[in-house]
Amino acid sequence: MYTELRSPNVHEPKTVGEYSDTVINYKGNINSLWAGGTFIMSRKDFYPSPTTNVEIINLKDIEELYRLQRNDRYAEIGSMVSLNDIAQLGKNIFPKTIISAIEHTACRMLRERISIGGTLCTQGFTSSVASVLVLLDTAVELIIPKRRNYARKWLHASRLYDKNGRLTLNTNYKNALVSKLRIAIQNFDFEYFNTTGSPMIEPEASVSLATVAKLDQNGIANTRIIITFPSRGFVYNRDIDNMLGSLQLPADDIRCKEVEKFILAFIRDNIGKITPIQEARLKGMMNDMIMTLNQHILTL
Amino acid sequence: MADNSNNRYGKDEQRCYGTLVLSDVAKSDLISINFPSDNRCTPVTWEDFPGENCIKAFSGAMPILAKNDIRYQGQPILAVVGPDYESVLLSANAVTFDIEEREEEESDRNSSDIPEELVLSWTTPKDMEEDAEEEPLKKIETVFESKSVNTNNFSLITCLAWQSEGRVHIEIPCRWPDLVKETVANAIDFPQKNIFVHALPCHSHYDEYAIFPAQLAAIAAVAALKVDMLVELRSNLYSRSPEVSIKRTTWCDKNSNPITEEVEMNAELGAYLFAPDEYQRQAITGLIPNYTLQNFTAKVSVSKSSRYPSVFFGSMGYSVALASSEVHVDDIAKKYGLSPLAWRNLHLEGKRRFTDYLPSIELSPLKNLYKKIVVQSGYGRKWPSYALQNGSMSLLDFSRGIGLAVGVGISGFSTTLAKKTNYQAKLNYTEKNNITLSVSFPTKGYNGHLIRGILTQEMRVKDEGDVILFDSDTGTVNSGPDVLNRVSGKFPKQLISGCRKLQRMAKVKELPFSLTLDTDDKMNPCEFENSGSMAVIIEVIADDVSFRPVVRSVWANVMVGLIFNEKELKATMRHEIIETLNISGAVLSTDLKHPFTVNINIESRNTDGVCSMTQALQALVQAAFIDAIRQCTGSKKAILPVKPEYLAESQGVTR
Amino acid sequence: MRVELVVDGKTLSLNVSSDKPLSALLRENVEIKSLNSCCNGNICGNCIVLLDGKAVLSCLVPAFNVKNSTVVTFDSFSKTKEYRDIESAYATLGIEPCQNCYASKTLMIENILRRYEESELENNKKSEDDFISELLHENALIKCYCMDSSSFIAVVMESLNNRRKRKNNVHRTKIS
Repeated sequence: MYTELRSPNVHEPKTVGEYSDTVINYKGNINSLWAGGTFIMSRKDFYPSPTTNVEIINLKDIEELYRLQRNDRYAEIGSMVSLNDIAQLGKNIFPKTIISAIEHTACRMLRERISIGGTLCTQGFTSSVASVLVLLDTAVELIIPKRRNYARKWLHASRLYDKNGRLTLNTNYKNALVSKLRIAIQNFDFEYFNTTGSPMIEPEASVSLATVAKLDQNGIANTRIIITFPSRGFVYNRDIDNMLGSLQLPADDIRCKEVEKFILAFIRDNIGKITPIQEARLKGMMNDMIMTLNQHILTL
Repeated sequence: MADNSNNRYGKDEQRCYGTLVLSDVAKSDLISINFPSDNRCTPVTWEDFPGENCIKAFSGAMPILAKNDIRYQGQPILAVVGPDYESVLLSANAVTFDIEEREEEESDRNSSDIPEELVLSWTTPKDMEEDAEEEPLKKIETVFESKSVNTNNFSLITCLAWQSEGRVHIEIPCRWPDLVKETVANAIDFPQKNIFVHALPCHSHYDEYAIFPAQLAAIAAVAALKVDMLVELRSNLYSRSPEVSIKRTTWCDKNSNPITEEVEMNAELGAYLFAPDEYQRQAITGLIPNYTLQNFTAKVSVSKSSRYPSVFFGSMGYSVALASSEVHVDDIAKKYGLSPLAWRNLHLEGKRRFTDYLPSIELSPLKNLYKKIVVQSGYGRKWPSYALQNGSMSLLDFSRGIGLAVGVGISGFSTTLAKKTNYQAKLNYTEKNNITLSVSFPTKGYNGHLIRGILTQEMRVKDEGDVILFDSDTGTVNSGPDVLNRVSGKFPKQLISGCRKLQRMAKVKELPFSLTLDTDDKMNPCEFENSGSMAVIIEVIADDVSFRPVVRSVWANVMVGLIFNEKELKATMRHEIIETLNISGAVLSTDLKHPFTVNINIESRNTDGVCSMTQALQALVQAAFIDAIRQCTGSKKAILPVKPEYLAESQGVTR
Repeated sequence: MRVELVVDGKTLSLNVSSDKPLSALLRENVEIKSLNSCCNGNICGNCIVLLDGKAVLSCLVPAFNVKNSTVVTFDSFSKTKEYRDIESAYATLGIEPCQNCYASKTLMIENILRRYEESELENNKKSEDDFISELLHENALIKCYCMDSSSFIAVVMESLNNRRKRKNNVHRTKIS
């Protein structure tokens, strides 16, 4: 049968050790790590693929990747846990930004099939969930296959990306597998998340904005802000955080415009030119965020 | 794998699968096709056609597969058939072409199949003394643009073609089985009586099942003959609306009475034209305004382009023309500092002028229609309140608008086209006192209920089972396509008249006997009839983050003829409203406090006609939506579909 | 790759490419008529089937992930009592999806009914606003615009009522 000649070879390791052995044995041949598979299969020319000799490692049977643990300070989530499960279980634990980001990613039916690991590690696409995890100082554990064994390494989620939010996992840690995430259980006085456009269908028109901060009577402190452009990456920088943090609240239009101008200039210098509609939407979101912040501070 | 199917296509029939290869470019010369050296799949090109590689409908024609001239992007160049879809798709992806792009030639733009400009005008002779006393008139101009919209509805259309005992069978979803039969017969050089078309049910919102199925069926038939097997040919469906530009200039006196109006409309209909003169007739009908004018001139011209041929699309120009007429009323009202409601109250009086296109219409019923929804929607209170928001008092997050549009509908073909095409149906009164109707268009769904309802009612049949419909009966009658709501709009009147004639015949003739009737009205003195009246109000809010127009509510009040099933009619209207809003760029409100609502009220005139309001509904929803958007943004632009970039630009947010 | 699965009650053993999407497998290898959409990654939402009792977009599920699974398509679902609950909701309200998305929309509603039959809304763990918000998101998945959100919510609520009434009647019949 013709289909058998080019049908990808599917490996289904049951443990992390088996995964490591598979990777080492098929070194150079591995084309595809398969978690939920939602993004891979939604690509336009996914099937039928003209490429032959494709190897797929299906992570579905590795039990360790589904574990959930928590204590007072953080929750550890296996990389194969679905976004829906995280949203359901973490609703009263995690910051609202991550729950909002998950809920805006897709409807419940789709979320049940999207894994958190896959969301973090999609090449060429930056999800707002991934960027919010970076914002929340999430740590990730990597399994790095070696000749006779494998190594585990914890690092900050931001180390998976370059400074502009593009995934560099494959370059820095070849064949590594994200096995766990550690999300801190933390409270913020102010949280904001907004997204517009469909990142999968129209990535060049979509943008999302997430902010967390502490508030006191003097104003805003420990501000963190991240802006995501699905096909470009994200913008996350201390200078922008400080710029926002320097706002005297309630902020007036003039100061808002200054912050807006600074951020847009930063984006242009680092990510490059964004589409006019993305820019308009980002301005709208920043305006909305500052108005919400103003309302919040006035009720303190 | 070739499938061995023990089925109705023939015992143990082997099957081949196929797909089309479409062009990525337009306006090019096709030098050669490079097919991958793969003996599993077989290409089917224009050279394989034993007969004519041509599809003809009305006065238009286009090649089924491109020969050496690629006119538009997406034009089918060849088909690939093979033992399974995977091989076929891989082979199709590997096909390359040697092409040479060419500049657009004068002959493309001025080809002989482009009809001359259609003009409608009237002039009222003026009194010379009045003329001398007149103050200068105010000029109001509106440019209305409807950009081309592609509706790839992702549906796959699958055609099965097989040969059996000297006959060719085609199984395909379509709305024009006669065209399928004719095209296949010409393509494979078979007599039509040896072609059997099994029309499958299909939902065709934009008339996308009118022309393309015939093209696909012809290719499948040629492939079936070439490989001497049953062929299953599959393709995505595609349709495109024309790109239209309408410029309207009205000169009004100091009391806002319109005196003179000039309208110019140009529609770009794609690379090949089908019934462009019918398009002109339908469009010019929509351009005629409801208000009185002393002098009026409307010109409709069509042009070709290097884009996908745009045929029907639910309306042949009437909807967009009517929408532009209603949007213009908004501009006239604003010029005089009046609300569109106040202006209409002043000027929709008496009767609308009789023209060759539409008969004279009483305008007071139109007024009564919109008065009801004005109260329901609070238009009278909301319009001035939203109008105040523009300017220094506006807040960024208070961009709201409310629009009103009023008009009449048409359906089916013009009288001129009806005379040329001579489409028919056949009514039979059998010996057993059954009524049978033979038509060649499909009658499943709402159309079937409607026809059955009419026959049951008119012939006073006790048991609905005594009414039998033979549809897709391409052997005995040619009833034309089910497009532009011909079946639910125009045909019922013919059917009612046919039933009455049948009853008179039953008094003097013995059963069984039959009666052939025209499916379109050829005796109408005007090109079209008034197919119902309606008024629509739409409320919109411009989201200041996503810059999308969010529709909160729609109110519609409709006056139609006979109603057979009000629930089904309301459901159809609801679908139409939502589809039109979405294709116009609107987003329906999902706010928990203000969810999107549609309020439809239907009144019946209890006349003989059954009305179809689809085209008018499309037009009035578009017009009311544009008016509401223009109030939101304070902009004069009237461009559909409304894009987020346009809203952002008009609110001064982009650089 | 050989894949064994149950489709609409029939056990099948198919020889297909391991990465073949379930939608293509059902359309081409099993000839399911209700699946006639192919959007090439545009997530049109028109290929919903029930995989092991849960609704999925079948174009996003590869063949290697459906080994030993149970698939229910609209072709067989339309013959069940559960379908009648939804069909009578359409008839009562006079709101129906169009022919293009009827199958997918109905299966999506069935998925929601199954979710809330078992838990959550009944036990008041989920607020009504969250429920409505979830429904709005689900409705937006299918890119056919024949049914707006309020209609969709009304149909889901009516179907849920029909389902509960039917189950209560069955329960009472069993007791008596």
